[in-house]
Amino acid sequence: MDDKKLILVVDDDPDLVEAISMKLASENYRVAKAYDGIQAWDRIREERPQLIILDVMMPNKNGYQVCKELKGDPQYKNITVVLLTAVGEAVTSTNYTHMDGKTALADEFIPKPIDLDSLMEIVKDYTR
Amino acid sequence: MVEHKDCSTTEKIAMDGLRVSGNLALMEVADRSYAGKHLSRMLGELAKAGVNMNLFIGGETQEEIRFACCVAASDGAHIKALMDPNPELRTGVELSAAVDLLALFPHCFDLKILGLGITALARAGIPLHGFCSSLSAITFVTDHTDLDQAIAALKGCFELGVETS
Repeated sequence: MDDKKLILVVDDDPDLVEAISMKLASENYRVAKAYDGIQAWDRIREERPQLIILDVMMPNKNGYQVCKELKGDPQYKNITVVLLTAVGEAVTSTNYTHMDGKTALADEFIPKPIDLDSLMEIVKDYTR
Repeated sequence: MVEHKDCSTTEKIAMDGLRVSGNLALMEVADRSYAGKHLSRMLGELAKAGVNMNLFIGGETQEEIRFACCVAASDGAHIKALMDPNPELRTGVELSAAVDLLALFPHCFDLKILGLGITALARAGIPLHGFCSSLSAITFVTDHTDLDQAIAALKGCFELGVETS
């Protein structure tokens, strides 16, 4: 049995998924990938990750919706969720706000553009 | 529904997916007056205004700096507002019509994917504004009016896991 912790990375930007995945792999984590909210739920059910790095702005189902559903489901609510947020104050082409994030009940928030070292610190804290 | 025949006799290459970023404006700049500092200033102003770039392709020769970038169509107004009071920023800038970015991923550093993609689009008669590779994706810039045909052409060569937009 592989005792490496499994992290699910969800973002519709394949470059960001790859960059985070490479960093996680270098820190000895296993990585699962998804590119939208629906695919994220498939991976969650199939692989049951310990932590999810979840983008907000995604097609089909956004990160806030996925997080809310997850935290409302007794089977999955203990999975840690780190939301990647690019909210309206920073980017003109989004209508999301910090309030959306608070109501989604995520465990942590990381603003975009992300600092990979800060993200890794959070991942390590929650997977000890 | 647009149908397109395979671009080759080989089997389709499996990819994780195709990401379509639509409703974008294309800004192209080819101007000798951009001696670096104007370009830096312009990019700084765009960053300050929170204008997100979905793509940036740049190059420099001894005579000029050329670059193209794609922004949300709604940000086209921000760019115009920035340029209007600054003639030096406006020179040589062309802000044009709706384009889409079609990003195949992951490329796994396989040039065959780039070649097949370009060939597929060319055979379908779809003009390319540009293409580029990044960490995980090969991205093609096409006119929005060609979107369905471009997707169909790429599907003729690639098995796509997810299709996001």
